[in-house]
Amino acid sequence: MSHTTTQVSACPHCGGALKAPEAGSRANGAKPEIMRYDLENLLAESATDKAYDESAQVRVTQQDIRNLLAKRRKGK
Amino acid sequence: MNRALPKLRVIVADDEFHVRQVITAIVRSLGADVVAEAADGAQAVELFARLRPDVVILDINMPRMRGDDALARILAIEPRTLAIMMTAQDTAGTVHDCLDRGASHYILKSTRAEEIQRLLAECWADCELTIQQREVA
Repeated sequence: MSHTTTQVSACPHCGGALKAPEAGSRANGAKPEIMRYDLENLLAESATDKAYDESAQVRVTQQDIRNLLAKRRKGK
Repeated sequence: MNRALPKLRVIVADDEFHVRQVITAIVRSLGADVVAEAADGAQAVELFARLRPDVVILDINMPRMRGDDALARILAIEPRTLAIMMTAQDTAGTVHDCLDRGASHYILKSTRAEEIQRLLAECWADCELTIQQREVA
C-alpha cells in the first residue's frame, strides 16, 4: 500500500484557505545551515567579560575618585 | 565664597533619617538652602520635578527607587542639575556607572561628619563655580 500526498489549497473541513508551504532551505533541497562555534573566540570573549566583571568589583578610594573626575574633566 | 551668588538650592535624598540630618546640617553650614529631603529615589525625583533645585545629593541604596536610577530620571528632567552621589558603594563599576550617567561628584560616605564636611565643601566650591559660569554665559 502506498501513500501519496497531494497539495491542497483549502481545508477539507472548513474550506478555509491553507497557508502555502514556506520556501525554506529544506523546501529548496538545501541542507539546513549548521551552527558552528569558534571555541577560541568564545573563550577570548569570556575572558574579556570576566576581566571586566572583576575590574568593576575593584574597590576604590576617595582619592581614586578624585583622580578619575580630574581625568574625565581633562578629557572633555 | 562669593556672597553675591544666590544660595544654591538643594535636595538631600537618603533613606536613613540621621544621615539626612547630618548632610542637611553640613549643606546649610556651607551656605546653601536645603529645600527638601527625600527618603527614597522615587520621592527625590518627585520633589525634584516640583522644586527644581540646583543640586541633588543622592544616596544609592534606597527603597522604591535606587539613587542611580533617580539620578538618570532627574537628569532627564533637567540635564544641567548638579548631582552629588553620596554612598558607601565603593566599587569601580558603580562609580563609573554614576559618572557615565551624569553625576558631577561622587563622595564615599565616611562615618566621620568632619570628613563628609570636607568633601562636600570641595564639591561646593565646584558647584558654585559651575553655576556662576552658567550665569555669565
